[in-house]
Parts: sequence; structure tokens; C-alpha cells
Amino acid sequence: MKKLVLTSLILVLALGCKNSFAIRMTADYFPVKVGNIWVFDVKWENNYQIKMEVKDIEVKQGDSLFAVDVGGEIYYFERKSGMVTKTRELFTTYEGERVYFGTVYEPYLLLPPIEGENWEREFNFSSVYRGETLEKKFSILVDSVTQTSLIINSVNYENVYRLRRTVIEDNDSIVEYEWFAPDIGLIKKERPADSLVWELVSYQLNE
Amino acid sequence: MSIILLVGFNLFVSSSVPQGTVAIDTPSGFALMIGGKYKVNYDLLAAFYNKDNYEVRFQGISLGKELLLAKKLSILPEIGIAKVDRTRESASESGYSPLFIVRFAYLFSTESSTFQIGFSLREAFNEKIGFDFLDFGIGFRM
Repeated sequence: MKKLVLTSLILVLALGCKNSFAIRMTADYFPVKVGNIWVFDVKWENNYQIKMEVKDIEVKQGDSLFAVDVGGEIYYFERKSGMVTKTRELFTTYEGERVYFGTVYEPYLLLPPIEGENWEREFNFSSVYRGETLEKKFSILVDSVTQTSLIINSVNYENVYRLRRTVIEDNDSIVEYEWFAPDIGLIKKERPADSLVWELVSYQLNE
Repeated sequence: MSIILLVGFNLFVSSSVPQGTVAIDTPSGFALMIGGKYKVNYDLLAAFYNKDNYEVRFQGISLGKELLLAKKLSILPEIGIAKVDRTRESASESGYSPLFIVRFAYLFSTESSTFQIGFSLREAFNEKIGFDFLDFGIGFRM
């Protein structure tokens, strides 16, 4: 009996130790709460720091959106069941004037991330402006979701998911790589075409 | 050494997993009796359910020892391992996690010492990966 209790205890302790998969099963890879702050070192033409802060929750057309201030610009994210969407207003410039097409909810992140998955969404708009038919194309493709670990500023982040995001707007495309850590969120971003790199310096998350 | 077959027909009754869950409770497994004294129970668990926009599958195996609480009532604490798969469309990820099971069994009196019939209440859980199954079953011991 004593042996059994001891063996069970050892097994429980051994199995209860840090389990990578259990972390990935339960962690939040996009923890948005009002007051959460992330500070990044930005390496580009000039090195500087950028602060990302969840400012408020705003209700727009019945949807509760998190207003996230990224270096002075406000972006809106919505937490849905199993996913995060980002709102984006689509415009075009015609004869020097800004023509609005509408607001789209792009699938920013699927939760929980699963290695090897990919998703895409395409939006097509057309509008008649001053007798001319204007068209707008916008698409997002996320692929190459891989599970990895990453060292940033001597901090080792484990159970990190990396993904590649391709945003195509009309004839322009931007490819970015993003890394998300469990219960922290975005820790790194890279845009190879511009040699732009964001790396997490500090963060403060509300309980 | 003798083998006791514990054939169980468990009915899944509740859990912390979302609605729409499909859970298959496999037969209770079998127990090993050594020298008429020690009974080591072997248990199987399988479950499948949809969660948000992905699917989760559990397959678990566990071992434990039966402890008599009273003449007809016994408790079987078990520990094992569960293989967990989660799938969204074509992408899939697998991992292993500890599995904890506590089973209470009530056995009816029978004339035979090798054949018994009874009810069982089983709780399988692991808070770390967020699963919690409660089921009850009817079974035989041969």
C-alpha cells in the first residue's frame, strides 16, 4: 500500500511537471484586456520604442471592440469564439479625394493556434464615384503556422507560435512574420522587405 | 494470479466540456488479482468533441489499485496518460497529458465469488488541459 501511494505520488509529480502541450492547450495567445501594455523595440531606419496599449472597449454596430493604441494609432480588435478579428477601413484615392468602401473584419488570429494551419479571406468592393466605377480588392492570407521557441533580450519564450501574414491591397502586398507567446501575445514582428523588426521589451497584463 | 474482467457500460452524464460533446466511454477495462489480494485496475477513456472552431480527441489509459471502503463499496484511484489531438480543418496537433481517474464501485452480493455485478461512478479529470468527465456505468466482474 505504501509503495503504491509513493509510486502514485511520484507519477503525479512527474506528470504534473511543466507540460508544453498542456500550456498550448490552455494559454491565451492574444490576451486583450483594458489596461494591458506591451512595449517593443523597433529596429528600422531609426531605432525607437513603440507602446501598444488596450485603451478601451467600444461598441460599434453591436460588436464590442477592443481599441488598441499602437504608437498613437488606434486599431480595433474583436474577440470572438475561437478567433480574433481586426477591423480595417478600406479606402482608395481618386482624383485626390478619399473614397470609402467600407469596414471589413479580417481574421487576424485563430485561437488556439494549431501548427500547420492556414487561413485566408478576400474582400472585393466596387463603388460608383462621379460616374466612375471604382474597385477595391483586399485579401489576407496567414500560413506557415509553426510552434517554436524564441530568445528575445535574453528572455527565452517557449511554446511560441510563429505565422506568416500576407496582406494584399489592390496591387500592393506586405509580408510579415509574427510570433505569439502563451499568455503574453505578440512578442516579435518582422517585415523582411523593409528590414523592420519589433521585439518585446516589457509588458504589463491585468489579471 | 488471476485476471478479473471488468466489463463496463458507462453512460456519459456530464462534464465541463461544451455542449454538443460526443464522448465514448469504453469498457472499464480489466483488473489483475495477484494472490487473491491485490487488484490492479486498468481503464480506458475516449472522447471526441467540438470546441469553438476546432475538434478535440482524448484517448487515455490508466492504472490504479482498488481499495475497499466497505464490504460492497470500493474506490479505485487511478493515474494514467491521455493522448490529446486537436484539429482544425487539415491542421492537427497532438500531445500527452496526465490523466486522473477516481472510480467508485458498488457491487451487489452474489453467490459466486468470481462473478459480480455493480454500478460505478467515474470521474476523469485534468484541470491543466481543461477536461472533466463524470459518468456512471453498470458492469460485471468475471
